[in-house]
Amino acid sequence: MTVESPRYPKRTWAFSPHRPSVTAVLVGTAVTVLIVSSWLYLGSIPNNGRSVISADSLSRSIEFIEDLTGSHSSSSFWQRNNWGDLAQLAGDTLAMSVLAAFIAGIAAIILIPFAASNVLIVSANGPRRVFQVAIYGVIRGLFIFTRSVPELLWALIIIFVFTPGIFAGALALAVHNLGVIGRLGADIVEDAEKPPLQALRSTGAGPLQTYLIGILPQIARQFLTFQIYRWEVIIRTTAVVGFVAASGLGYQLRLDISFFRYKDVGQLLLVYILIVWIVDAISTLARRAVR
Amino acid sequence: MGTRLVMITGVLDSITKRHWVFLVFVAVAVSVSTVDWTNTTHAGAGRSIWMFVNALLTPDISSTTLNAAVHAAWITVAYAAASISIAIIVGIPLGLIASGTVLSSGVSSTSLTISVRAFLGFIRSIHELIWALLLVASFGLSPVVGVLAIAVPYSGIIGRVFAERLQDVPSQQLTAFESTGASSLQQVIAVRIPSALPNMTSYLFYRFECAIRTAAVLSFVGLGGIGFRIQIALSDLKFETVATLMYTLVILILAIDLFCGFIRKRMIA
Repeated sequence: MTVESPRYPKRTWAFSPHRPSVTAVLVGTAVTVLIVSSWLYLGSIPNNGRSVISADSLSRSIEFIEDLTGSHSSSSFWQRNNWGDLAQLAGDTLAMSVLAAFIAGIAAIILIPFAASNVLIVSANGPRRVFQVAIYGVIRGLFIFTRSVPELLWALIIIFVFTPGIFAGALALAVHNLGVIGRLGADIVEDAEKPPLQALRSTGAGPLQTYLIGILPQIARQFLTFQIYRWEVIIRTTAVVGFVAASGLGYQLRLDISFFRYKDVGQLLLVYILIVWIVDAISTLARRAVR
Repeated sequence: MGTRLVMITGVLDSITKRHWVFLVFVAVAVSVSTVDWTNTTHAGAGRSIWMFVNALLTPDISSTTLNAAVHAAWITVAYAAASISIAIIVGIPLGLIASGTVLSSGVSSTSLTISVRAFLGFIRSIHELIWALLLVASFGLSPVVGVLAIAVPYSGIIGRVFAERLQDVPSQQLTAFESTGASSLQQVIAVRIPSALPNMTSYLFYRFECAIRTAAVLSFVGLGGIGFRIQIALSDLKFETVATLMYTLVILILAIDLFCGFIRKRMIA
């Protein structure tokens, strides 16, 4: 045990009065090596002899920004009567995000007890315990697997089964987010207060009853707060999943960029940022209500 | 003006939990009704699922595929690491300003804080892939553009989170330090940053994990990596190769997770 210096509120590497530990040095070296070699590798990729910053690219990007804002042509922002279409697309995007958050939330609530050792693994010994540990491993593995694959790749796979649309997109978003909130939810459950659970068990409550009565009320706030926060993340990604799922703002954005209709892209981006901000505002209010 | 603001917040606070439950119910119902439920699946949906599950159980482990997977994984990691390094260099100083803890209070520094916050909010509200599309459209396709596409929104996120961590320091520690006559800058260096550091480190690892996923989908604008390989394998209907590549991604994410857990344990202990 080292004696903590009273001058420092918490011992951390950077401001520790002691020498940095061997692990700190090793980790620091590993991170530095990784970053430097990444840059070296990326620098070695041939780039068609064009540099990113040049007079040519500068004039091109100025032109691009002018196109986006529609400043040098007859301004599409006022001329077009497709604000209604955009509202429709924004509505589809919102619907996709709500469905995704809802599906992921329900699936997580159902699966979380099977990924929490303090709920599932209750038998002391024997084949029952082996069975419980196996289920625990499978569900934890499922969470890691669904979390590791990004939403867009899930969308690419899911459209082999489901017709591209709001539902397919929502499903892709939900699968990835199930992994994220499932793992977090299970971790929260495993950190839950033990005495109430023991008290419940001593009255003869089964695992399901323990979960519903002893654990869900304990974790509800934290879980809901996190789930609402995930909705903010989901709405940003929904536009991107739309590239593949062929619906909402994302699909239109992809089309407009492919056809170099940059004026329309500007308009779309405006609506996109607007709904992201609206969702952020609603989410802040909702989280305050949960707290 | 002030009273009106109070009135608005009063009305918002009076939205009770029961109202929220009702609102969520309505939102879900409306969303469900927007979906065209008549033909949600393809004709051969069952067989596609079966083929895919089968592929996940028997991934392609031939040496060519594994070599390609390792190479693609390295490209993805390189993009992620390079972007995170920029995002930290840009995001941390901006977060320091946005936290409003460093600069002495005054009209000019308050407006600087507010404008930095607005800037961070703007760059992070646009998704990485949309940044990629925009940057490629204006600068052309190159690795640096791919790195920037991730680094720009991530700077915004890292900046905001760092600012929040700096603000969340327990007030007893600050009061104790303040009573010794320390300036706000000294407080930031001696109290705020050290207490934000452990949390921030694990958050940065989490961001690195996110960056890997993002780098994996940058193939959509034409950059290589795991996503690019998966896209090609899917078009070729080589589901076994897709499974191998997906597992590669899982291993990468799992490795970061374990590494981060290890460091976190060391830092808190």
